[in-house]
Amino acid sequence: MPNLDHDFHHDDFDFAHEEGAKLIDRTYSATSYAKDVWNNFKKNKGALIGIVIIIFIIFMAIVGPGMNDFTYKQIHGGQECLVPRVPGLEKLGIFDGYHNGKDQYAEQDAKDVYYWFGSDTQGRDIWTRVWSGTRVSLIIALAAVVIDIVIGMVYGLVSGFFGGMIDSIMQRFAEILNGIPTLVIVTLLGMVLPAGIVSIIFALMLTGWIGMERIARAQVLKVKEQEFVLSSRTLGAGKFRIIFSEILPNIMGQVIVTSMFSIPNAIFLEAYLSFLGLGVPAPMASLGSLVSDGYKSMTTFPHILIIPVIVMAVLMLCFNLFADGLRDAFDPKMLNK
Amino acid sequence: MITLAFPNKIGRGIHSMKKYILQRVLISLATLFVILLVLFILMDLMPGTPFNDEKLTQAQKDLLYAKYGLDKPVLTRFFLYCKNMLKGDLGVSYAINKNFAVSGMVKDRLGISIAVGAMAMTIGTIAGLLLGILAALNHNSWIDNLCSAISVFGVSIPSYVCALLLCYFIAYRLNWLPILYNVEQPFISLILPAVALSVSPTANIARFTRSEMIDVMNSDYILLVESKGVKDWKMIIGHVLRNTLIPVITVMGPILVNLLTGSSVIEKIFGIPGIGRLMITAIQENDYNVTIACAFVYSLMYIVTMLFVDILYGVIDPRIRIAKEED
Amino acid sequence: MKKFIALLLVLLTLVCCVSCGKKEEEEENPAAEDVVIFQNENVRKAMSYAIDRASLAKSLNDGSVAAEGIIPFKLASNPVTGQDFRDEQGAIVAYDLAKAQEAYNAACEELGKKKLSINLLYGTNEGDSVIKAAEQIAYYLEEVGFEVTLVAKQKKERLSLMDTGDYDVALTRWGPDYGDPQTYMDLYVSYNHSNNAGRYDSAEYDKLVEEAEATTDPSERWSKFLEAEKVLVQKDYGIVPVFQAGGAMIIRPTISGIQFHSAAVDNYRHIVGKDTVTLITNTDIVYLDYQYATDGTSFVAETLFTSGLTELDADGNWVLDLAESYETNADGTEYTFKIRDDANWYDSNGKVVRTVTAQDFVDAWDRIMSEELASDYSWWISDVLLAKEWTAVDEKTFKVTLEKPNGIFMACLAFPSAFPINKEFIDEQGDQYATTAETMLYCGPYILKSWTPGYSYELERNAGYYFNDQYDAAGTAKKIVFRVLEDTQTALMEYEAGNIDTVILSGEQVTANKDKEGFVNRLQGYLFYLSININHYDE
Repeated sequence: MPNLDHDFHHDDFDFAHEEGAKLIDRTYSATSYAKDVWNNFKKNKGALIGIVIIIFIIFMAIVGPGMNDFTYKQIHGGQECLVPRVPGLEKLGIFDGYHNGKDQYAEQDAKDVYYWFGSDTQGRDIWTRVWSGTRVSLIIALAAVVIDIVIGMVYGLVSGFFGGMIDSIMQRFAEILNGIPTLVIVTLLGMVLPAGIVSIIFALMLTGWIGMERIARAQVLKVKEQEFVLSSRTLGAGKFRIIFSEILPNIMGQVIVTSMFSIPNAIFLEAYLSFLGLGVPAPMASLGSLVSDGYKSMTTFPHILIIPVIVMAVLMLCFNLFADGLRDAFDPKMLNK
Repeated sequence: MITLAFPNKIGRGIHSMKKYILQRVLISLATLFVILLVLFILMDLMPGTPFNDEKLTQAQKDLLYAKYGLDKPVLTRFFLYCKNMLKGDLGVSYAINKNFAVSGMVKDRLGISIAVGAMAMTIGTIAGLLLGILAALNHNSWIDNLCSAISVFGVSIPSYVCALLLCYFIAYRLNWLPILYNVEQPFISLILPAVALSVSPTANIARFTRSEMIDVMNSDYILLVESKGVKDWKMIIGHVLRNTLIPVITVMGPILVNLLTGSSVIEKIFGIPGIGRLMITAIQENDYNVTIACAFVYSLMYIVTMLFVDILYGVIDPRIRIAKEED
Repeated sequence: MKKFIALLLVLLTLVCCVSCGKKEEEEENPAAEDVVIFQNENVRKAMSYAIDRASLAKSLNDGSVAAEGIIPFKLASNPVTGQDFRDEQGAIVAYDLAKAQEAYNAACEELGKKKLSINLLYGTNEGDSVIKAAEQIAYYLEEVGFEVTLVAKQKKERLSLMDTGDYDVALTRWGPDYGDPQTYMDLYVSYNHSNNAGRYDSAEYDKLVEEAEATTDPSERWSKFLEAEKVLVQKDYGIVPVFQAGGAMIIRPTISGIQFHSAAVDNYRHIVGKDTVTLITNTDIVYLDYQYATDGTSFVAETLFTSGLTELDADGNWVLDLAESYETNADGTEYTFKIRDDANWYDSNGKVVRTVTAQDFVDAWDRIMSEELASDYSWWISDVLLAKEWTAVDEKTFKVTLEKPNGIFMACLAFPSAFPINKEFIDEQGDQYATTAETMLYCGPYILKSWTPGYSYELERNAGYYFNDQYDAAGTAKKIVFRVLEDTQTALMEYEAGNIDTVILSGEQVTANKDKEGFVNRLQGYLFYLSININHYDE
């Protein structure tokens, strides 16, 4: 017989394993899409580091050229190809103006001069040129991204979504434009347009967006037959609502990543354009033109090349970290996690 | 517009796929024709003459124009050119190698450019896919970050800088490979140029594969496959990769065309007689026939690649095929 | 088909875009409002004095030297004393900031302007030194007060802009065709519209040049040219000379005998030190037919595989080549050449085709002068050699009648445009003539063995050539390979790896390599100057 004689304890009717916490339904306050994105973005450390460095580089591009007494076009006869020399650091044995064991500054009779990043083959201060070049390149990069996104993405979205005749015509047009080598087109542009940033942006506008257009279109083709679009359509959503609020957020990741990759292309295209007479007019510099000029000294005075390449690479790395953060932040699938 | 792939439609699908391909080929031909016409008009707008501007008098220039038929109107020249092109005659060069048949010049150089380009594309695709897949499989780990860093540096350092670095260390310092292109040992001497050329495509493909694959792996159908207990590698190859490749192919098309039609800087550095250099020189020298021929080779390759990409799309992704069919 | 209509529409859009672009270009005339400023002498004077040519040449670092006048160094020497034109004239341009400033201020006052702005046109594909020089010139002009906008264009477009007068100031160059001041002086006479882009117009200068060219007295001619240069450069500032191009290179110390000429084709016929010599060239042969060719690279190769009546020696003096002997009449207007019996035509395998006859020279000169050929160098026979009539007296005797005595006649016969041709062979080959090594005939000390355009060309010693035994005795190279390579950095690596025997250096490479054994600094004849648009706007 079982022993029915026992006592009740005070916690006999509580949930097991529940240590003091009360299970209450919580209601989350409604957050906007933008806030969700921002919250997500904040979590990504890489992206934050990226944006901090980008801001630093932008800051340097604004104030850097004014930090010493040189100007970007000032030529110093007799002080060509000097290696970097920085006050303070020179005592540590780095950036001390020595090249192949010889003090270049003493040889060139420039003992009291400090070129922080060295001087180029015409005796111009690289520090000033790099930062003013960064300024130009940042503007071009921004323009490239905007053009890519505005023209390329919209074109690709429309073309891919509507399909049929519209798609066919739009694709043939893009094919014709892209089927002609960029070189031939920009050479001709070089004749018609005056040199300057506006012309560069125009040249980018003419051909730069096509890569993005193809990617956006491919993404749309992939997404548009998926179930959530179907459901939205069934619920009676209009075409533009489907494009911009159903499809667009889903392809944003690829679009952002691709647009970041169009930045160096734009910067290097600019360097080629200045060769054709379309780029920033000499003696103004851009990162692209500094790299292509520096290339000629690569085996003899590598500092002329390395400095703009490093600035460029760091800038790119940060843009990518930033883009990755954005991509994850924008991704609706990530948002739900 | 939306149709599900019912089994009984497959037979009809193949039939209309053929029709679709035929239609696409015809349109591509028309596109090429238009491009050729545009090229002709562009050439007409180029400043200067193809001849030695510095030392010729106007009378001599006029004489040369008449000799080569350049005094005729653009459209007349265009139709004459089209007629000759069908016979395989692309005209003669005016400035680069005077009076040489352009078809011969382009043929000789295109072969080398295609060889370098194909090598670079192979390296770029393999390395890019590997890097991208590796990064995606280890999403948010240090491997991912390393792969990302590699691909970012790959696009932000121009190919000519990589080329000279390779030349200096591998060929000049270590003496493992020849510095310059050499006709007697074409394969060995084209390795360095191909590697230098492949840096940027590797980065692009890696970056793209990674982001695409992460998307795919987060999608519901992969979750389903996973929950069905399909083994990891089988799932990756059979489901993830297949779906990743569709958009990757889109970016690969234009990259391939750019590689095959030669890179003038790489050709300059390694002394390769390729078509990229030829085109730049032709543009600078106003050598109309050579420019048009080189540009047209580019256009042809571009259009053909795009055609393939479009058709391949249909093969890889049945949904697109069926959507197309309905149009 | 709807799709075709769509295509047509697309095409129309493109055509519209392009034609709009063209219209835009026609409408703009950026320089028009500044018409008057370059007619002001003080403006030109300020420009001439503002440029620190020595410093500019130093920073180019490729062996270029500061110009002292429009006639380059080592172009021509006094027919009597043998002194170089440049040395005799001395420097007639100078860097003087104070004078430049003074002239600039005076110009501003005269023109009633606060600031003078100029567009400086230059070519971006004419070598790194041009780009650098343009930037430096702009800098020096700005130091004086000018507002300078650099206009970068491709060479073809630069020339076309200069041709139409659509420019302010342009950095341009002239390469001498022969060793006489006339090659430069002819350019700036008021009626030479092909070369005098700025329409410099001075009756005094025209008269001096015409007198110099009309006179038969060599020393009077010389002094007229000296005076004409002073008028052009020092008195009128019609053009502003800037620098003379250099050519820094390294030649393997074991090799010698390359003869550089700044005003004639370099002579590579006497290279000794190695059996197979591999040389670097940064441009390819353009045309094997020496009657068509216009560029230095082609000419160098052509003087190797073809011979003329004379050849230039290391000092630039002529020596007889295919001519065994010659006679001239008292006033020097008739020359009769006896061609060597052992001068033959060879095919690419070195087999004798037939002997070189006087008729071959007659055919050659007739062909280059003919309108159908439309050769760029037809004026070589008429305007440089001053030949009026040429006939074959007999199989081996060639007779030339000149318009007037010509001091440079014999030296200029060494130029490929005056070389003989084999007419039957050319007729037989038709369009294929001179497109490959096999479709040419050779009468020079070397035979072209192969030519891969854009890559290399190879020449081998012609065993049948009359001078062959002397070449053998001297140890002259048996094979010369030219490798086409533009990039100077890989070229230097290839040189140091021992695979090539010469390398051309860019300015960037000179500092690090100038102490190497074999470094030479050959001076080229190209003179870079600023062409000023003085009167061309009006047209």
